[in-house]
Amino acid sequence: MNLHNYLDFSKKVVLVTGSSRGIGYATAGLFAKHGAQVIINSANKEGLEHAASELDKGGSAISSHHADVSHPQEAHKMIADIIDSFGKIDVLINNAGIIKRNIPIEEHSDEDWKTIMETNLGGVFYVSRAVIPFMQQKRSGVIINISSQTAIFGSKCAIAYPASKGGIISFTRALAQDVGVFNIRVNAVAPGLIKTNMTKWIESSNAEYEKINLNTPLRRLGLPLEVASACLFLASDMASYVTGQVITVNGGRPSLLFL
Amino acid sequence: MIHDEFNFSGKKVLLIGGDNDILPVLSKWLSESGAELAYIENLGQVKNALTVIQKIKNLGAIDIAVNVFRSESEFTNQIYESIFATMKIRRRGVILNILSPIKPRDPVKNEEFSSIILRGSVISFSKVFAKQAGPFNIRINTVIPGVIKKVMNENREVFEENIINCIPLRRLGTPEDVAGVALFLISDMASYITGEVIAVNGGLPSSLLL
Repeated sequence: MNLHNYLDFSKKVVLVTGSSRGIGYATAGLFAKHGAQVIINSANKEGLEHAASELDKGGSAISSHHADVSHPQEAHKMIADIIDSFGKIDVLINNAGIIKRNIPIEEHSDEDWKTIMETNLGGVFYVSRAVIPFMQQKRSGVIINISSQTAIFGSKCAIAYPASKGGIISFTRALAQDVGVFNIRVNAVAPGLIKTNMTKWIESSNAEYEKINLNTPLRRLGLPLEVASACLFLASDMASYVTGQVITVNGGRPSLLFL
Repeated sequence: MIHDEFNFSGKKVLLIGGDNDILPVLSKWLSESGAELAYIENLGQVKNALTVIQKIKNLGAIDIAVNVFRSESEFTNQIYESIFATMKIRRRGVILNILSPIKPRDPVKNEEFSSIILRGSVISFSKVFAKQAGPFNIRINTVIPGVIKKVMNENREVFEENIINCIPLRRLGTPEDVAGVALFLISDMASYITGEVIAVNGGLPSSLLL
């Protein structure tokens, strides 16, 4: 393998769910930069159109698909439409996710719990289920699920989010065992605190920012591109023997506190 | 197509423990990408730490150090400290540990016990070291290869068939598989990844990692 072919994604079809902004947007942009035909997706139509027009400015091959992955039928239809248009999906990045903060468990409504679970974990299940048969046919494919370091450390007053992200890790490991035989690799990326809209609250509080910096050996928040790069690696043949793994991209916050 | 991600020109890379199948692949890629390479022996065979430490000092600024652990010696820590010192001055650097590939046998019954302890301790060491080194913008990560084709021997066929059935990807790994992950971790693509352990094992369940 020539080293410089590793990151050549031309002729590859890549779907990134939840990619109108943040990590998903950066990931879509990075794959496009490396030559992929990228399909972006969001449940937010306006955001999606805006993202598509921004990414188009780079002259990349971008197409967009409006769908709410928490609805099985919408997820299924999205995959069917993409297969109709492009004939295949080489790389699926399950990134769509939502969070609700500052709700102690006793005030957490059933509805919020269900919405978060259905979007973050259900969405991964629905979209993967729809894609797998096409990858099996081709006997190749890569699925990357975006988890979170909160799956490992927990998160204050946002019980459903870390629970859903922990589920994603278990889902990843289980699916990797099931589909490895078809040469389909399934891995997860668990980002730490990454500079996006989701983490704006940290930057607005000096005390919080200091605390987080001290807990993070690299002493800074991560950038969306740094998570996107981990996805690019996992999707490439550099990671041809990597499956069922969870890669934390969190500036080194240790997962085993006794160390 | 040449990508910025693999531009190592002007980078000084120290490769430690050349006696294996993985470093030759990595060193070929790195030299093609413009890196300046230096080598030192397997740390387990070091008799005189001072000579090695002097050699490291003479190299000057090291950008990246990759150590393939075969075994360790009482000097390993001192040698790491000296690499760390050269990186600390410039407030940047990357260290990568690559463990030796798995030889799947019953660990309790054989003499490989010390190598199992070594694997565990390298993982712990790199997590603790990441905490110390992070504030100096120095990253340290570990790669754990699974069963890698070229380095296997003895009763190959029966052994291969049995083990392959346990591996979700249904094949053994290659030195290129491991080198690919190593290349990622030492590149700027992994700039926010430190203290991390990546298994390159075709999906072997994690209880078998060690």
